[in-house]
Amino acid sequence: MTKQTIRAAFITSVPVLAGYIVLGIGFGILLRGAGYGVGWAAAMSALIYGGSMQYVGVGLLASGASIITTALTSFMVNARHLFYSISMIGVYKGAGRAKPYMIFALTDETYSLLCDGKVPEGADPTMYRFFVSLFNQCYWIVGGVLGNLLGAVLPSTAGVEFSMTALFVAAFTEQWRTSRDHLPALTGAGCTLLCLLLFGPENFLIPAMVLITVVLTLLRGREEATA
Amino acid sequence: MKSAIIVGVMAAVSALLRFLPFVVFRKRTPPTSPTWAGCCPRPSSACWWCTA
Repeated sequence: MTKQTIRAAFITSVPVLAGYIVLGIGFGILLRGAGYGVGWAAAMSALIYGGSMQYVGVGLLASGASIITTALTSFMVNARHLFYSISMIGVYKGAGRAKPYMIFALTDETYSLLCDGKVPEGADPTMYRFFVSLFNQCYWIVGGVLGNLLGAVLPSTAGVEFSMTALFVAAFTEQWRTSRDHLPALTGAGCTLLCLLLFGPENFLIPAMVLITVVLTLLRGREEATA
Repeated sequence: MKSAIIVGVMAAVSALLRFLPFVVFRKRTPPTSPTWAGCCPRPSSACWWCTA
């Protein structure tokens, strides 16, 4: 049964494999460009394990950001994980000793694979979810380490930093395409543009995220009514 | 050293956000089913709440 469960988990995780390896390589190259070696890439991928956070983290490391700025930025970038965890409380119920790791490894992609609570026939639910989480993190770590090693031999890493922008543009496009309600997306774009104009490119990020949170909170009643 | 602190803060905040809901909502709300009395206080496969 264990072998069957691991096999099912691997098959489920394959779509994430390609994405995580490519994005991990982008992160590793960027980190190397900022002067941090393979140990840092592996440690960040193992301990933080958050794609967008790690990309933003490269900038924080390079600029020597303060603890307050780092904590605030981490909170803003990863706040969505609160909602992932809330919706997985029931799914992870009774997961036993594997539960802490499964909670830690709950990324956007892992969440999207496991959130429906479905498990392939014949597979042990807890082991299946554990191994999907584990495989995904392995892909991410391997990507980061490969990218870092690759960054050491590449003559130039110019342009690689655009991979993060590309990732978010793709996510935004997908959100726009699949959702009928474009108000959240427009709110994000409008608030960001406004804060960029008001605070400049160096300081706009946190005010923009606070403003987006405030506006979406104020619009919550309308969003719930249209849902 | 500062880099390690930055990575540590990022890891700590990320973990906090993931674990917080599981900690906050870990307490069970009292069930209203009459079958609850049959399996309280220990979890049991006979209890609708325990197996929900």
